[in-house]
Amino acid sequence: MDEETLPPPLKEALQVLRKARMPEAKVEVVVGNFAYVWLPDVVYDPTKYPAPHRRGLWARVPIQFPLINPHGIVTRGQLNPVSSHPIKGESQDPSMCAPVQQLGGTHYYSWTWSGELGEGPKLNAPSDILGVVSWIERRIRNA
Amino acid sequence: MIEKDSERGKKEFVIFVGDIEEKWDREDAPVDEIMRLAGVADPKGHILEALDGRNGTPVKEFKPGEIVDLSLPDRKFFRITPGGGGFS
Repeated sequence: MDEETLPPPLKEALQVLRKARMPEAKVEVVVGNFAYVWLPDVVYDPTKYPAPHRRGLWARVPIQFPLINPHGIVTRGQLNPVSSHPIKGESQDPSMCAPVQQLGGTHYYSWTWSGELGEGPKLNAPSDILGVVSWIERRIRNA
Repeated sequence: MIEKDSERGKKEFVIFVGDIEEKWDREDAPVDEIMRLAGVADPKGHILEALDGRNGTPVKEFKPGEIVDLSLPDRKFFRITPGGGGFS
């Protein structure tokens, strides 16, 4: 994936993300209006998930970020809380994993920025990508 | 949590919200105020997460309108996370 073709705000967001949290973060592929952004080091709450507690996943980040909100994640393997309860938002649509299936993407969680859990704050700047990562970690923790 | 006595004998709590340092002269700190001092203009829709260390793992979360007791363990490092969400 040639990230030079991405809109400048998304490129800046990726730079911020790499510098502040995940040097290996990258856009794997763009499908439609969304980039599948590889987040190699997402924290899973050790009180709620078995090891490993740092796992990689893909976040679907709009190429128009931060004007448009993120939507959904793709994981390698099913989210597996120790409580074994079902995870809301898991999609049976294999097409959402297809762009990263060859890389191990197997499960899609159709999580939206706003909805039943409340309205997410407006995203304003490329640096808000860091909030997206912590938002994903919180969603996984509270899933 | 960091607590130290000033020359006047008052307790001071030094906390970090991300890289932002805040000094509090009381142990009960409103979440909204902590967030505003860290640069969040409108705390609504955000969550304040207490971490178990610098860049650590969240151990407790607070919503706007709540009070944080800075005298408790694991109340020194925080981060602000967007709240909200849904399913489609």
